[in-house]
Amino acid sequence: MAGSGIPIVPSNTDKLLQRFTSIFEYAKAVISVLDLDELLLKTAGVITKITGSKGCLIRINEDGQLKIKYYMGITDGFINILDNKTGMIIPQYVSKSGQSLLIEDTSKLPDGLPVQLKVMRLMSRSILCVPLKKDSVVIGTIELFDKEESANQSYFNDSDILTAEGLAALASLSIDKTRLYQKEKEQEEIAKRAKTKLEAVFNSVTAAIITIDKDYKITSVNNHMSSWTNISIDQLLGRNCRNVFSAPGAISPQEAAKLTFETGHINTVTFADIDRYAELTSYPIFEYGDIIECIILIRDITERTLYEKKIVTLYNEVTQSKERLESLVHDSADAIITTDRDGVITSWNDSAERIYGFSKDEALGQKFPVAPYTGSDQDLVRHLLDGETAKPQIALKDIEVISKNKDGDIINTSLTLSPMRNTSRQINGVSIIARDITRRKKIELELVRSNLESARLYEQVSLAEQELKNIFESISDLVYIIDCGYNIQKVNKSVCDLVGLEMDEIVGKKCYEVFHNTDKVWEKCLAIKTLENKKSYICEVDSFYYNGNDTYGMSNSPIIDTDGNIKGTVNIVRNTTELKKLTAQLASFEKMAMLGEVAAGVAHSIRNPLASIGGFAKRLNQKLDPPYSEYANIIQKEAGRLEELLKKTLGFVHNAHASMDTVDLNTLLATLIHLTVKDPNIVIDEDIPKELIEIIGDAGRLKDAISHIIKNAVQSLDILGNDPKPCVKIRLYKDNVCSLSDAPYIEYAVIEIEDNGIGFKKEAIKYIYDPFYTTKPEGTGLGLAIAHKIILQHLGTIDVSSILGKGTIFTIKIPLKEV
Amino acid sequence: MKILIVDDDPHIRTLYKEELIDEGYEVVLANSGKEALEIFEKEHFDLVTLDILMPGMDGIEVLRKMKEKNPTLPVIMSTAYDYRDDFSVWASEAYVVKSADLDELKSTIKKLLNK
Repeated sequence: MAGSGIPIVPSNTDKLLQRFTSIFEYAKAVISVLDLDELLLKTAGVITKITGSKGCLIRINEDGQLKIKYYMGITDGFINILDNKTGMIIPQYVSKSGQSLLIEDTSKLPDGLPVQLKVMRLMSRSILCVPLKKDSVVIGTIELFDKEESANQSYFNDSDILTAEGLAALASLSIDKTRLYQKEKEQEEIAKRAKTKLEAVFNSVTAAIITIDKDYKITSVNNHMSSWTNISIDQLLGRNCRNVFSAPGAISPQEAAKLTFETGHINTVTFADIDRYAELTSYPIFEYGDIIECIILIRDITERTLYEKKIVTLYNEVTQSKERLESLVHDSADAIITTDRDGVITSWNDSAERIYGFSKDEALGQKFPVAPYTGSDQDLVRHLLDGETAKPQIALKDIEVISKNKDGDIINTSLTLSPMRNTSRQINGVSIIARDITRRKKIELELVRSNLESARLYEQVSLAEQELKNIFESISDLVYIIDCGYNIQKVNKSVCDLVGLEMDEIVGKKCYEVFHNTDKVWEKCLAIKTLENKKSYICEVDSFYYNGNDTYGMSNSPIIDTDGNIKGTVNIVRNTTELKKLTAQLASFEKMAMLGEVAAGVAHSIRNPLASIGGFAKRLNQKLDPPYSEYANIIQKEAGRLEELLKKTLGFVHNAHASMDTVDLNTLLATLIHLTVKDPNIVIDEDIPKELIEIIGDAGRLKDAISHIIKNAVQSLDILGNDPKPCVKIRLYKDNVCSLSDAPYIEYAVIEIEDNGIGFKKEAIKYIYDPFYTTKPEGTGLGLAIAHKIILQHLGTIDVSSILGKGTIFTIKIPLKEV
Repeated sequence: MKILIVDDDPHIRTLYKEELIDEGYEVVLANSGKEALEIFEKEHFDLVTLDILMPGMDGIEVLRKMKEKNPTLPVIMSTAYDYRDDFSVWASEAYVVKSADLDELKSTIKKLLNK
């Protein structure tokens, strides 16, 4: 091991010269070489040549670590050892001490050395390591292994140390120079990249960027400036910023830059353009401590500003709402109470105090309710929060409870409970709104009572109305209402069906236009009389409706208002065509049936004797001689004539038509009673008015009918009785009642025939009009039957009332002749 | 030919009897429905003339009973009633209204017996 710096004089001059030549060449080379790898290659090449080494390894110190940078003549296995801890022992030593280290013969290494070094013995026989130094700082090491075997030297010696150190000194300089150069080159690269990056950033920033120098000359702009000025970007450069951005209200980079130039601080100003907001931020650019330029970033903050304004408005609104809410809570007529999750009261407003009587101090900290209410769920708060798990966010609304206030008075309250949540939506309490409904409850009860009453009345009225309407609609007769001008006011469905028009098409028209197709009032119209006399009339008309030949019954009643003025008439018209036919048929049938029976009885009684008379006369005619045979012939012929007469009479009865004419009942009755009652013992009581009472009818038949009844009365009398004296009473008067007809106001002539005779048994009355029914031994049973049929033919009625042993009254009613 | 004449009117009975004997018929008389049925039980007749309206049993009932016994027996209804239409459906063979002129009755009898 050796380390002295004393030069050794070479024994061999040639060798020495060769060495120097190599060093010189090396020195020349290393000056021009700038690449480290090339330098290391040359260094290793020269140093192995001059020292005659088999292998060389160069390490360079980087970040305190000796890193293998170049090696030659070393096997892979050896490199692995040299690159780990064992291999590092020698160069680390050299690096730390700054001294060269020569291990002349590795086999002679003392045992005291680290064990690991013994490995080196296997790899190399002789090792030399010299430091690479720059200004006494070790920058690396050069290791040389195994000297070329020559005659005198097979191990590195001191001369090799000097050579290596000399070359190392040269290499150190070159390495340092190379490294500096490379560093500069790298920095240049970094700067170049940075510049490119900056330029990209400069143009890709969404904000507009403009730089100006101290004279406000524009030195650079990015693309986004185009949105802030009309001048093209190329033409902006070099111009004075003050001239470019001079319009009033426009952005002003110079204003932002002004303060930065003065103070060196970052400065931000905002501008409101016509329809947008801009924020200009100015940054200083220093050079050697002086500000040479300003970079101004221009950002469109319109959206942000509007958003901010909105937020401000919202904030104001929220603040106002909050104030309003607070005043609401304070001034509310309702009690507003809040509790925590356990129902403990946390706030209590003035109304709560008023309603419940407990002051705020008394209520706070108590559990709600302060005074228990009756009959309800006592812990509504718990109820709400427990229920909340099943049905979240449900409020309990309008729960009416009866409770007591502090003084013990009963109060009705309506409670609404809602969960309160904090900002993270967790329930932290319950709000309760309690409304005093004590008064309302009382009023409600009253209202319910009166409403029920009204509803009942209303229902009755509307039912009645509906019923009336239904009746009006469903009447099959024509019903219509006219005013005094014959304008139709209302009609029912039957009218619509008849005339074939809709209800609203008929209403408003003149009634005579609709029904009679005339342009003036129909002369037979009952309304004329009704409007004149304010009375009801009824009549039968042949041609009420112009289309067809049907007959109609017409009834007409006045509509009188509360002041007694006539407003119009109600007209009911019934088509009686069918009814008339039926009535006529029925009457004829009944008549035929009755008279048929009569005829049958008569025929039976007459035919037999007639047949006998005629038959025997014929036989006599054949047996007798003239002139007697001629007499018999006469008898036979006369009997035949009687038979014919019998046939004709029966035929006449079948087709009999009454001859209808005006009949003066006053005269008819006056003469009839005296003709019929001839017995002077019978008192005749006449009550016949002077006023003429006329009907339409067959005088002869009426006489028959009435005389049958008078005869019946006379026959019932006890002629010889004195108490009372036998009496027949006859009365005649007008009336407007008819028990048989639906139509009121028909005027009738009434004839009453009363006797004080034996009267009828109750059960007999049923049969008194039946043909052949008689209570008298000599009676035919036809008198009252005929009377009844005749009265019916006159559209009249006949009634009888009788008390056995006291007397009988027959009442005949026949419609008066129309005036 | 033997004919039974049933009528409650004695004069009619006599008239019919005289006229029909003149015509050459044998005639038996009955004054009521009851008597007619009694005779009808004992004797055979070729034809019956029957009044309808009689006291007691009327002609319609007599007709029914006779027809029950002898359905093919010709019966002429003879009455003062003109019920021609109503009785045409009945079991009698003919219907004649009583009249002084007996030609209709005689011709009807002749027609029925000659069948």
